[in-house]
Amino acid sequence: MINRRLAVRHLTILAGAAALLPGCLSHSQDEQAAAYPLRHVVLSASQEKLLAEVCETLIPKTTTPGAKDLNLSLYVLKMLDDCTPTKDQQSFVAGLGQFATVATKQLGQSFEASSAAQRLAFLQRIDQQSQAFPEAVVAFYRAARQLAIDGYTGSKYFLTKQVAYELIPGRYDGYFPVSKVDLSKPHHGQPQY
Amino acid sequence: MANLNIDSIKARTFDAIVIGSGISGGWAAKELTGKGLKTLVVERGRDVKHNIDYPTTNLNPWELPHGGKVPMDVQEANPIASRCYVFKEDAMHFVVKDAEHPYVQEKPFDWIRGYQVGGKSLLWARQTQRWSKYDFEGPARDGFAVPWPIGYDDLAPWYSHVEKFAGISGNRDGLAALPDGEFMPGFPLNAVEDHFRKHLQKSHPDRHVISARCAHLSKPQPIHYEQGRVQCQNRTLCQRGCPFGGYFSSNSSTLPWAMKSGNLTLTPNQVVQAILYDEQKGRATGIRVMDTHTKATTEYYAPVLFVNAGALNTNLLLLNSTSGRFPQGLGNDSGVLGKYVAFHNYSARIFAEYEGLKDVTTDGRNPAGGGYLPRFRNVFKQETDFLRGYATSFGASRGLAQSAQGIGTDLKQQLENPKLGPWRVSAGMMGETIPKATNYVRLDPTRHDEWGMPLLSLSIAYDDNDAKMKQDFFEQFTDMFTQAGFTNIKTNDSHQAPGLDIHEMGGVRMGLDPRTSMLNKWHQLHACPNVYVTDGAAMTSTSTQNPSLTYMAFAARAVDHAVSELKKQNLKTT
Repeated sequence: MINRRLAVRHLTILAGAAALLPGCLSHSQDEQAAAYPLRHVVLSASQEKLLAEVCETLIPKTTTPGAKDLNLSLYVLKMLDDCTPTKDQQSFVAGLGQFATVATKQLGQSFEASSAAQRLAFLQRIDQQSQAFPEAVVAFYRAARQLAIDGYTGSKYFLTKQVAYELIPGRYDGYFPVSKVDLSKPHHGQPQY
Repeated sequence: MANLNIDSIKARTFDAIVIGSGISGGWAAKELTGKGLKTLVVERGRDVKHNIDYPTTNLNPWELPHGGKVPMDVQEANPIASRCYVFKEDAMHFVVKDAEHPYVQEKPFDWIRGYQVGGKSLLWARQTQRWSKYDFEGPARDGFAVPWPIGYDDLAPWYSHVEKFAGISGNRDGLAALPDGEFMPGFPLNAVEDHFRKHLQKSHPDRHVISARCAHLSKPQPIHYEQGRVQCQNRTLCQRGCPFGGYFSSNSSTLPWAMKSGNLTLTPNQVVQAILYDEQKGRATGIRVMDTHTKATTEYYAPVLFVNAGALNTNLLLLNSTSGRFPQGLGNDSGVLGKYVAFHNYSARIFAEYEGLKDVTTDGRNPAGGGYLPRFRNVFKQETDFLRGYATSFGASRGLAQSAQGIGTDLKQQLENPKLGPWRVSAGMMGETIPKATNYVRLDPTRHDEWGMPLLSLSIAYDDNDAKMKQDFFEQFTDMFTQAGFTNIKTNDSHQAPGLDIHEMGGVRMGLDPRTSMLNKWHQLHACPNVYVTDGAAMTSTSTQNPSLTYMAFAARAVDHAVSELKKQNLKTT
């Protein structure tokens, strides 16, 4: 178990993307063999696509990379599959299904077919008027949002270019002036892993 | 055939055997081999070589498969290990999994173990404080357990001996309750830790916030470079194993040193089932081990044995080492073996925030963890309605405000431009518990593990004294925090079972009287003096210090005694 996990330790999220795709979508036998397959959560190809669009709406490409650039939906799936209690996995998948239905009803077309502005507005309604939506949809939204945030702030991109993580500080200063803090450089305040 | 047999016995005979390669076994091995004894170290777990077997040590957070989180199936399969703070994705390979090594809980006890070469020395919190005379004198003064047969003066030179080699960072604080040692520079307190220190100096002159003393190389000396260790790099990823050897472990320090002497034989994957006792010679002659993979059993022999299996496993081994002479376990004429087990009460914490000192924060990371308050209750005389007292860890830190709202560009903007949050402070109680006959371990009468060892059955619990002490901790720190200007003060009683402190002690206690104790003042079994126990099992009482430094000093002192006894032929058996 350990060895298999360690075998994937050097994968960046990007490289992990191929490994995370369910077997039916893998491009070659090699990738299937090296796969880190989803063991509990079953999504259809269209649901995966929907999830990717939801993630892109949550963390869009701006001057900095977005969810698709960083394959955040695959991170969400991995954490959902490996690190989430069964009950929450089930409500996530059920909520994703209902999300698609409610979105189509409200947007007049599928979430994927809607414009970026329509998608954003729809998610903002769930975020701010949650009582107007089925519980399962809200639960899915909240879980997906949190996992996407975790995926973004835990990505190599974010931890090297935005709020830099430092593996080897080699120093400690207990009276560091706040005026000198530059979060894009290795600094204090990093989560400790 | 006969010659082959003799040769085989010869090959399995050493000058000394050490059972266990953790923090105390590593020290026994280093001292024995350093004095020229051909020494066998037997370890039940797999080999872990310094650097080579630290698979996660240089991983960035995004390189850990789950960013450090333990997968749900692993958590569900390991409810006990999962309660341990160190059981995260980066170090869980160094923690025993629940199902692999079952034990019996007559009362709830989270037994955290590290079965590998180096044991828990890879994982420890690296806090190192000497005991003072007030700690050793506790049982005699307050009338519990039995008096310690040794005092601070017996151990002081050995504290110095191990401190110089292991490398301890700390300040010379000049406190009677916490003697100074051989220190490299301490890691400094940060602004808010210092604020609390200065405040207490005025409000409670007998209470001190000092830099936590720890086994990190803040300014390595030639002896550390000789070990291949260099300055601590403030990674605070210690639990993964340190490529710099920045903190002390058996793996980075004592074991490679012993290996270099040419006198060490290290055999991992061997469970010691029993210590062999020769009725005619009246001495222990060796051990019987089982290979954890092949299940083959082998015997090894030596004139002197050091038992460093880890406190509770040392109890298990002695209880299982029965003979005609010792039907209740080796050296157990008194019937106290397995009894008077105690631990540290870590179930209380207190949290708060501080609105001041907003113009400063910290930079880099502090491997010492912050500040330490030595015990201030009942030190010089009894003054409360509970016995003994608690030391306290105290730390302040300033993280990022985690309040990202909304979605989309807005959300990204917030995530990419986080603000510094308020200073947060926390204090953790480290309470002394009183050893009692009713807190015991024993062999399960019927069940065995797959290596033929009876399951260890644990009956260890808190008592009223612990509850009163915890109440006092909450009251005292709520007051002190309030007076120091801290706000949003929250006490937290974790209600955790004993065990998560990972400071289980006793069961093979030292004492002056063979009728009420197992070990004499040199750590020899009263009734079988060529067996020395120098791990946590030997503890007569627990006081409040993190115990590892004391076990190191025990081991070094006892080896010195054993070697002088061997020279005088006092321990000779073969």
